[in-house]
Amino acid sequence: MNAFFPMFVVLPLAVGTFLFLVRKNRALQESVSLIALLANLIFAGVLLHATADGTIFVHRMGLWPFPYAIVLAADRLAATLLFLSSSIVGACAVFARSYLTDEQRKEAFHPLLHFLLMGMQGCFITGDLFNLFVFFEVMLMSTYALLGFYYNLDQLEMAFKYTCLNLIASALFLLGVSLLYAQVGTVNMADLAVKIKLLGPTPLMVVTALVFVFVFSVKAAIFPMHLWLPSAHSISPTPISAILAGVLVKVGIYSIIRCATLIFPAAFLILQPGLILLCLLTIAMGALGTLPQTSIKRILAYSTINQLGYIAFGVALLSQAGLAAAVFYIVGHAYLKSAMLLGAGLNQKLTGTVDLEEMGGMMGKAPFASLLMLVGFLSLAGFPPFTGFFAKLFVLQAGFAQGAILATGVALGFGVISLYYNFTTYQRYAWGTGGGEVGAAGAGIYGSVAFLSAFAVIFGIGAYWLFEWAQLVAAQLTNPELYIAAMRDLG
Amino acid sequence: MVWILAMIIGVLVTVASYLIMQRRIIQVVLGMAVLSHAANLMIVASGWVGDGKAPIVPKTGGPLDPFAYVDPLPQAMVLTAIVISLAVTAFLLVLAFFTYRKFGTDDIDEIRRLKG
Repeated sequence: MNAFFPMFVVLPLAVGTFLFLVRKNRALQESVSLIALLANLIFAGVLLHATADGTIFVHRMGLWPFPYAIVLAADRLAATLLFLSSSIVGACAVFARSYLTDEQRKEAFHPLLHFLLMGMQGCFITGDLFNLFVFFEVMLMSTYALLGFYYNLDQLEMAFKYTCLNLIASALFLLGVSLLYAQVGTVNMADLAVKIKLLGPTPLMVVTALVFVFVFSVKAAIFPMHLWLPSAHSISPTPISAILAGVLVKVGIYSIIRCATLIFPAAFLILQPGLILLCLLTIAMGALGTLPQTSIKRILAYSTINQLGYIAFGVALLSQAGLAAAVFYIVGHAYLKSAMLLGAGLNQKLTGTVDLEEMGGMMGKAPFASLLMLVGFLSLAGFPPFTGFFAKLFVLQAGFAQGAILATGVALGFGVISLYYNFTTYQRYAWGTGGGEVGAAGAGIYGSVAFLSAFAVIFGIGAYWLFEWAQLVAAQLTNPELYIAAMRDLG
Repeated sequence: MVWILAMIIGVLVTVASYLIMQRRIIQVVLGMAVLSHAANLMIVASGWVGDGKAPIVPKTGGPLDPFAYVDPLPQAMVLTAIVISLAVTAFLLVLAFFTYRKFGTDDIDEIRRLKG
């Protein structure tokens, strides 16, 4: 397994390149892409099974000894996120097959999808901070191209803004890496953890941690860097929005988790009150932002900000229970939100619009589609027995258990707003007036939405299993010595 | 010596911030390019040790003082960073060109259709 798991980077790279070469042959391109995504999903399942007993797989690139080699490592958290990303990207590719017309798909769609997957998976398995930067750039480069996919005015404006924002964040990432390197002389995460612990939380180290928090909060849309998200997630082509909301924002959260548990645990304890305040503001901004919207995709985008606030709140508690809740929330929200964005795409296919005012009354016209949306909205609102309920429950439980009564109370209060906006949105969607004839949608569209929605139900009814797994993940995260030892021994 | 680098980085960041806040789209792109150069120089500066001798072992060999030589690893890293910033800047230029052609203006304030 140690020599095998770097293929999560190699396979998408090879397949993406191949798909680019055969771009003239649409049928071949599409089938190779889907088969490769299926293989990727199967390998991710194998890796997930293999990490269940707590093994941490380590691969040194070029087989250099421990602190010198660029290291790839897969622990439980990485395996979980690999499974998540490959299943969501796979479902989105199946969705895109029936959703995008041949003209809309263009030649670049599938190659870019695989490069995006390569970047995300690389971020999850890298054990080297500079390498994380490189994979971030691979991921972002594909995102820039996918966001401005049809060169229409909205997309060009948004892609330009998004690219500029992320370029500034990348420059700050490099600044953070150089600050760290100047202090401890390494970029290997395990080595960093050991040396930073010896150095203690000096003021400069806290500033360095703050730089990284800023950089990753741009990706994770934490207040005040959340403003790019609604446009980016609502204007991009629907299969891409689903990947962005499902997986891409989680890369930012993942990096924050690595920083908080492995690299700078002491500095994060000092920053904790500020972080919790930012998370609460994120929750508030996301919840309030949904209220004036009429586009279903924009509502879902603001709700993503809201939910990311809860996830980051779980991380910012810096306790094992908080991390377990955050991991549970990440998995639940990823499947749920990508299912709902694909569901919005399904409705767009049926009615030709994403505007709630023009849609209206879908319950009578497309019962199955509105049933799928009902599952999604109930889960988002935090209704038992769906994932959204348990995710919020565990986060709030962890907050109260830690004695952060006021902060958790505020988070709970904004849960009421989330209940309100989800109900009113569904009401307008299912029973509203207006809207014309309903068209038809392909089986691939229904299938991929139902596949992802099924997770919202399975992880709700079977919340116990997912939570047990999340606790195993958190147990490994709160003992960074395991990660460091694995890199030392194997690396 | 390292303080000269520090001053150059400071000047570059100042220039970049000024350019990014301008109204013309090409000035914003140039500002981004300058900003990434500042970050690259920062990485080079992070490997600066002592008098900053080139990290090449002399032919005579013998015991060496590691604190006299510049750390070569950041210089390897900065190569990667330069290549990435080159690619992203090239992409941004293309994007700026398309934006300019589609909107018919290079004034950032007029390219505002989206709310947020």
